[in-house]
Amino acid sequence: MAGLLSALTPLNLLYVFCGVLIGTVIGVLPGLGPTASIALLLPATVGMDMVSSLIFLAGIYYGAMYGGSTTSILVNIPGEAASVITCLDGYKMARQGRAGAALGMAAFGSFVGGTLGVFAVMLISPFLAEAALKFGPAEMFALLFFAFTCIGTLVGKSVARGLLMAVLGLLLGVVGTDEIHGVDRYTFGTLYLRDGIGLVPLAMGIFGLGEILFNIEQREKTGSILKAPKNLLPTREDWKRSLWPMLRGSGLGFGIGVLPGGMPAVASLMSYAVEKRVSKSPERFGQGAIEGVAGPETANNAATAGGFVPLLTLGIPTNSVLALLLAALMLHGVTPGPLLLIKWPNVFWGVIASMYIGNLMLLVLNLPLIGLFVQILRVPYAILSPLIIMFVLLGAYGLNNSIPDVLMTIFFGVLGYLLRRFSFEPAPLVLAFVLGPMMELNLSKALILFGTGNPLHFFTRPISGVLLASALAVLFYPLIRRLWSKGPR
Amino acid sequence: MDRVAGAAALLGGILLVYTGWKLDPGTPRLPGPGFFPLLIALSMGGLGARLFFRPGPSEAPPRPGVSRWTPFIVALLSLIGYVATLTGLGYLLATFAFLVIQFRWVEGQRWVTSLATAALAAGISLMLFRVLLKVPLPVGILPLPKGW
Repeated sequence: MAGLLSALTPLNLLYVFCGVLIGTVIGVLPGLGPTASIALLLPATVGMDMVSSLIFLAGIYYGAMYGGSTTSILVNIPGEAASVITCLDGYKMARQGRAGAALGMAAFGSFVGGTLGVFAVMLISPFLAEAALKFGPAEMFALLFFAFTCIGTLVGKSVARGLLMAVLGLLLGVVGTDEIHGVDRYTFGTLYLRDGIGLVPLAMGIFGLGEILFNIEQREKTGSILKAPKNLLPTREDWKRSLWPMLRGSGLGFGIGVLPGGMPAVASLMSYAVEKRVSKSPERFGQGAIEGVAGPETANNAATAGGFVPLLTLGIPTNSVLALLLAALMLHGVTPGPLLLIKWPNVFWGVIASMYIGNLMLLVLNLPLIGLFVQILRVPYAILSPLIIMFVLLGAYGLNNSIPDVLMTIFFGVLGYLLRRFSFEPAPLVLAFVLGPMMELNLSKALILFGTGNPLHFFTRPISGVLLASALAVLFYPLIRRLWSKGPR
Repeated sequence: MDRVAGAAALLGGILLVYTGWKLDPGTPRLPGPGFFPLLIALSMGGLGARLFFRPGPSEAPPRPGVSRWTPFIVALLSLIGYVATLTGLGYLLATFAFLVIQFRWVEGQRWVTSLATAALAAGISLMLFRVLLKVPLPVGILPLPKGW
């Protein structure tokens, strides 16, 4: 109770507000991300009370996740890997004059996912932590492979094209120094490529710059690129369509977030795949279906909350941001793990309370801002698009103060234009690029641990077996269905 | 288009098999640095063959529109010019020039609108990123006020 109450003091409420505000700005501005921002602000929290510093940093994390979806919806530039999926339907909704509904549903979905995630953390952390430990490299590879097949088969109209884009994304992810062997791959002898291709230049180039170049070359004879915004908030029909996606997204997102390496990006992708699969009108997805925003946004915030389970109960951070939060805890002399609830109950409950308050603050802060964000779309596209290019290039330069990053962004901008020109969906490429390195690492680890070199060992483990079988079913279902319909007469 | 993409993917797959082999794929018991690229190569080749031999129905262009090649080429060249002059001229001047070209010759805006919007955008973004967020943007040839 003391921990819960400590989060509600005026000072801590102010910290939550500041954290969420800074996080939202970080998420909106291209090139900045929560990891770098939390790393920069971490030293500033040393003088704060432990619960206050966690509240502040966690607020930045949630705010950044929401801010990333704002740019995905308004200008088709994902601020975070988890927001890539939101571009598919969110931006289409903005083009149809429904940016307000998309932003509103993203805010509510984030709130629902985060809140249900917090309750789950409170109630079932220790049991979930034990189950999460059963996920080894083989299970992680199987999960990521399943996600990979979903990317290729459920996004876009043609399965082969979608998978080809995903495979291209895997190839781009391989560029750089191999993590296990330290060998340079496809670096063409350049120092710059040794660190691999950055996600920010790739995503901003393909989505942001690519879209604008395409719009410059293919300007419509009449009308404008973006319709004037209509309702600011979701309608009753929107709510009706979004309720079940939000509930499913919460469960799915939390379950994935709990896993070591479970990324919000995987959660949002899987949620999209599920919603498209269960929808009675799947052809609406990719054309502005609100379920394509509600489900993924809920899932990625639920995954964010789920990530706290292994952090608090086992001291295992599942992504770079949580690693920094672990550092913040250790700076204050707290060692997360099974004894956290016994030795420092105020820290545990303080973090729980901060997560809930952070989610609430996000809603309170961002709902009124929707009206302001939507006004951006009233600016004529002829004025808006050069400004977007400027921010994209600025964001690319600001990453490492490096001209090669800007050149890389332009390169991917041209690639993004070509993909759109020839009707290839870019989202699978970006998502596979994010998942690929983890897939390779877990595959290599699993094969080394098996010791026999027999890949069928994946099917001898229940979790990886089920996931791989599901992935193969997703891949070959269209072929099986075709063969079945042509079956013996 | 499927056939073209399929052929490119097939060729790419063959090239990747060669490079993956050169990197040393190792064995399934002990994968080497070329193992994953080899898997990618096989997938790419397989998908390329699928697209080449069984292309999907040809699709209508994404949006009916007018092709505007001149603004497109101007936009591309101005992007390259921006990168080339960013460190030399500095962020403020290079961005101002870039935006003027975009507004005037890509988007067809009037001179007054182009110059005013470009100046405002370059100035505000410089203040926001260099002064407030302390991102070290290149100064170039224009002297900036102290603390900027």
